[in-house]
Amino acid sequence: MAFPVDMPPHLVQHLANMHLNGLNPAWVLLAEDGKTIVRIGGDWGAYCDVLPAVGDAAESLNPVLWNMFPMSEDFRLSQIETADNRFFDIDVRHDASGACWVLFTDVSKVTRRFQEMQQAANTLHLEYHRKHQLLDRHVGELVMSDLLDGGGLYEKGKRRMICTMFMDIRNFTVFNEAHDAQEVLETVNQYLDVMLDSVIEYDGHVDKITGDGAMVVFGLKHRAHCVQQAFDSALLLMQRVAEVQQQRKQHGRAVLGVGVGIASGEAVTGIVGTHVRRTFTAFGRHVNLAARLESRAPAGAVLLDAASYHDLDDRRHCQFSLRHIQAKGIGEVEAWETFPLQA
Amino acid sequence: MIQKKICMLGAFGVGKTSLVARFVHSRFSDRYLSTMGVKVDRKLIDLGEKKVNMMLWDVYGEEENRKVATNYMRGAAGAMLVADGTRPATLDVVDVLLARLRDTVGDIPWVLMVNKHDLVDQWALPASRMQQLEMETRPMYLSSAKTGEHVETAFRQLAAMMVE
Ligand SMILES: Nc1nc2c(ncn2[C@@H]2O[C@H](COP(=O)(O)OP(=O)(O)O)[C@@H](O)[C@H]2O)c(=O)[nH]1
Ligand SMILES: [Mg+2]
Repeated sequence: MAFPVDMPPHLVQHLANMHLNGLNPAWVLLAEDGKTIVRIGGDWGAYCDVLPAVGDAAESLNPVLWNMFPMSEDFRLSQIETADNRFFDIDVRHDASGACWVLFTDVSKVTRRFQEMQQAANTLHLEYHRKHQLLDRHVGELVMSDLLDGGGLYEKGKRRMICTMFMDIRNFTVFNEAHDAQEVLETVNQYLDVMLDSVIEYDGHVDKITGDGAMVVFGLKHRAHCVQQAFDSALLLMQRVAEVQQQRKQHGRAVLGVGVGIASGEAVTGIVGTHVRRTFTAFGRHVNLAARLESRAPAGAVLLDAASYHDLDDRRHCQFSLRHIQAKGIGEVEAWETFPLQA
Repeated sequence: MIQKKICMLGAFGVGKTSLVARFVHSRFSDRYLSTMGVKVDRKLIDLGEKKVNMMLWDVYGEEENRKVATNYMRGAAGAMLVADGTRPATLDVVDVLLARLRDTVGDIPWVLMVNKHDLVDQWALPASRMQQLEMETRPMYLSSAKTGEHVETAFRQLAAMMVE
């Protein structure tokens, strides 16, 4: 590190004070044997129950130093955790004369902050892995059942009628920016869990999870009534989301809504990938339409394309209103909107 | 009494901290708390004629952008390498860490734990892979910090190997 030699001492002092703040340094100098303490400085109260004394062995400073001395090279152990959740660093430094110094610093503050971030990242990773494993298994079962009933899902470019549903947490970006990572993660998981459970209950296949939402395909396992299944699962989803909202409100936490878009039509389906990572994909005009509808659905609303609306066997007493929507890349489309919980 | 330093090594989230908690304090928690640097715990193992004071270094998990520094391995007399049976990629991390351990402290006794064996429905290692592991790696245990399966056995085995 380049140190500016012309830096005025009072600024150097200021920098040093700033960085030493809260670090509580404590140090010892070792004898020529590289093992015995000959000089003691700083505040050892923070690191030892019994204060070190001249003549003690350096390794008695802390159990992690057991069997470590003498040391011929500089050495560092960082973020050693104590029983009461504090953290300290140990630095072993040799000066120009070759004498060995041992320095302890309290890094609890910065480490705890880092721990929170680390925690959020790792939890996210584990959760992500778990969800993917679940989806993989689901795809596997799908392939099996399709093979068994000769459905030919495997065949490349197989065309079939399916119903596609997109769902998404509204205003999530705003929420994301205003809350810390841990809070965001817990919130997404809370919502996604009930959202995914609702569609899986109706044999929806979760095609992908998009951070704060998902794409789900109906009509793979049972071909008949796939639109009805999608719609019924959307109703269940809205009900469960409302329960989550109620719960969160009681605990004084931010309440988020979910929007859903549903469209149906012919699509090309297929399983792509290897046995390690199989993914199912559906391509088709209505898939894009479902995504567009979802992006226009306000919190609490389910938007259906005309084909799905007319295909419904039972509207479950929901009030629908007709909307004309400009869908990017598609043009003007008819969409039927309902707020199931306002019936 | 003999004192030995043992390093717990593996990817993050495989259960290193949980195995130590199970072995030393006989408890398990579903809550996940990231290990930052290292936390040292002790447990006395009675091997009959010999007693071994096990000094367990629960080191942070290996990650792409945060490798386990060799400074933490220094002076180790034994190691417990831990993988997660629901995440096969964590076995590759074991290989990497084992190589680094050998470079640092030479050939010391170690055991392999393939942990979370209680999660049968999420288990992702095919029988063939486990057989192969069992042949290449001896000793290896299918363990669970949650139920305690093979935890005590593995630590005792490691202790016995270190005083041999
Ligand atoms: N079901 C189950 N969960 C475990 C087991 N061991 C650890 N866990 C969980 O896995 C997560 C990570 O465990 P932890 O011990 O912190 O892993 P480390 O990062 O390797 O120290 C925690 O949520 C633990 O509760 C196990 O044997 N079975
Ligand atoms: Mg840990």
